[in-house]
Order: sequence, then structure tokens, then C-alpha cells
Amino acid sequence: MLNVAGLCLRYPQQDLPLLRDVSFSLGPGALLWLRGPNGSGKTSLLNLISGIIPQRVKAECSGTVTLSGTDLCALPLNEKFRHLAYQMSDPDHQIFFPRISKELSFALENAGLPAAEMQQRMAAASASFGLEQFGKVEPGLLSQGQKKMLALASCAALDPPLYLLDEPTSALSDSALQRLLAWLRKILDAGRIVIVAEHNAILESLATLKLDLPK
Amino acid sequence: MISLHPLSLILAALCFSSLAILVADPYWLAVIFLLCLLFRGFVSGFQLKLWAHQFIRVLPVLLAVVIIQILLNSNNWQPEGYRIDLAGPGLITGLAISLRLLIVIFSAQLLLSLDYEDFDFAFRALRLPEELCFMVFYVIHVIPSAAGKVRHSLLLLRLRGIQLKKLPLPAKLKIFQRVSLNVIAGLLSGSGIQATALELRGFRSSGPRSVLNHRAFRGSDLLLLLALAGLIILIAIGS
Repeated sequence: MLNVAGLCLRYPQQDLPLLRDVSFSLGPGALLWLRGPNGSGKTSLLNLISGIIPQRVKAECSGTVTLSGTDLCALPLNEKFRHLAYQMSDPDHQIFFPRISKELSFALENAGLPAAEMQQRMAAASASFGLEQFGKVEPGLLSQGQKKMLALASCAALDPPLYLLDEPTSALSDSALQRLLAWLRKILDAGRIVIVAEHNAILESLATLKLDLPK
Repeated sequence: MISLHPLSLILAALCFSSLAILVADPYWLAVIFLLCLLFRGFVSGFQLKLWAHQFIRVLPVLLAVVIIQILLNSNNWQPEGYRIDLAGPGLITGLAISLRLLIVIFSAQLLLSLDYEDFDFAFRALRLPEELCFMVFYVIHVIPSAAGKVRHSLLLLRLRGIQLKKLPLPAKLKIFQRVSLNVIAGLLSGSGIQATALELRGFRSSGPRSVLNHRAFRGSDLLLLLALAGLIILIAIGS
């Protein structure tokens, strides 16, 4: 169960707060669709929940985020991967290693998973996003859509209780979109909680809650 | 072919190239070069055609080195005119420098056979701090990425109708300066976000870690280290 209560955010250079008293609760298998015009604070809200704000981006903020009783705000950034996976809107910000296999295994190695389980999770994530044949490819050579699929596959391999997805459908082809939808259905059925910031209405059918952020 | 741990290969390449720089005796340099060739043969196969091709490619440089050394070491002006001492110390010095170059080139070729995973195994075996590995991987990743961004910026310039080839040199330099500054600024700003994204995936987290692929040292690695140590001792005694 994810409880977000009274989230407020104001950047130092702004007079008015960007987010005011944002509160919601999501149970297992729920998908929250964040909507709103550009600059309405969708990504900022995801950054706030993930802890990037205020741990790496300084801003005035308040409110609580708890996941199954764990106070996510109290955790350091490098311990949050045990609870959440964050797919950023620009995949180039997340892709780092010169091999796709290393990209997929990085968080799993940090989590201390046994090698056999890592192999299994990596294979499943690669299959979900059609990356099976790219194991030894340099991610820099992938197209923007493929990079996005890789960023999503990295999240899928980690398989945390909470997923934060920022514009997951941008740059994806129709077939890639279908793969994304199938994967989302699978993780929602498995009881994972998903928060998606997205302009594309294709995810509407999966949303259990919609949150409109005003400009 | 012998299967060795990547760290052993890196150590061997470092050892051969260091000896090439430190050893002055041309006979010992010839021995080191032969051992380097043999080692490369045992590790990646005796690809004589490839070796010959590589040798032919550097041959002009080697010949130039030998000729320059012969000219510099000749007894300059004699009463009967300028005399070139073909079999004198210039030839020996030229050959020694050529051997040094060959050893360094053939040692570097050993490292080129390693791929990303091999370096990963080597760094892990050295138990380097995670931050240091991060920096190395970042450099591996950032160089092609920066080159791609520069190419993209130049393409955008062409699409705006700017013909770089037709511009005078100062204008070209100005454009390259601005493009490179823009790319460097973008990389610096992006690296901060990348570091945050890595932390969100558990970089420098607490708790036990595991390794997906593991490669252990074998008896052949120990034998190689002993052989390299023996070679260093022999050279130290002999020269």
C-alpha cells in the first residue's frame, strides 16, 4: 500500500508552490495516471516520491510518502532501489554501462541476488521488452525507442513493489507500445503499484486512479 | 590457446611494455620481443599473416628510426667527406628503439583482444573501489557518446546550410570551439543526473553484493606470473 499525504513543493526560484497538498493512496495492483500540461509538476512529483527532491535537487518540500509502512522519505537515495524503480523520461540519463547485460544486472548485483535468479530475471525482462538479441550490444548504438525499452527492462528486472514511470510511451513504436502494455498488465496483476506520468491516453484503460495536475 | 584471467593478460602486457622501456640492451630487447610474440601466440593463436601485416604497417616507421639513428651516430664530417657508419652504434641504437616500439605495439594488441567484460573481471579481481570502476566505465561510455554528440551538432550545422569545408580556418575553429563547449557542458550536466540514476539503482548501497559472472584464477595464471617474475630476475642479473 502506497500512501502519499500532503505533498507540497516549491522550487527556490519560484514564488508560488508547484505542488500543493497532493495526497493519494494506492493499493496493490493499482496504476495512477498523472496528467497535466507541460510544467505542471508531473516529473517533479515523481522526483519527490523517489527522493531525488530534496536529496539531490534542493527545493522546499513537505509531506510524507510511505510504502507498506516504510517511510520512503527517510531512506537514502541509494537504498530506495529495494522499494522502487524509476524510469526517467530521457533514457540517456539512465543508461550507463557499455553492455546491455550489465545495464540489466547492475541493480540486481547491488541487491545481492544469486546469479541464477539474476539470469532468470534478466531473461524475463529482456523477453518482455524484445531485447533478447541485444545482450552484448553497446547501448549507445540503440535507437531512442530501444533505449527506452532498455530503461524499462532495467526496472522490470529489479521488480520492486513500486514503479515510477515518466513518459514511458514516448519514442515507442506500435509493437513496442503493445509490449509495454502487456508488461504493465503483468506487473499490475502481480500486485505491483505503478505511477505513470504520461500524455498518451493509451494507458487510460489500465489506470485505476487519475490525477490531474493544474498548470 | 591458453585461457588466462584478464588481469593476468593486463599484467603481462604491462610487464612486457615496461621492460621494453627500462631495458637498454638490444639482445635482451630481442629476447623480450620473442617472448612477447610467443605469449601472444599462445593466448590468441599464432596468426602469422596478421602479425606480418601489422609488421609491414609499422615497417616504414622502424626503417625511419634506424636510418635517423645511423645518421645521428655517424662520425659526421671526415677529411675525405661525410661518412656514414652503417654497422656502427647507430644501427644498434636504431634496432633497439625499433624493438621497443614493436614490443609496445604487440603488447597493446594483447589488450585490444579484451572486451568490456574482461576489464570488468580484472577490476573486480583487483578489488578496486566502486567509485574508481564507475569513473573508468564512465570514460568508456562518455567518449563515444561525446563523439556522437559532436557529429550530431555538425550535422545540424550542415542542415542549416553552413558548409564547414568552405569556411576560413578562424571561423572553423570558432565553430568547433562552440560545439565542443556545448557538448562538454551537456555531458557535465548529464553526468550529475546519471549519478543520481545510478544511486537509485543501488550504487554505493549497503548490504551484501553478488556477481552475475565470475571468473577464477587458474594454475596457468600462476605459471604466467612466475614466468614473468623469472624473466625480470634474469634480465636484472644479466644486464
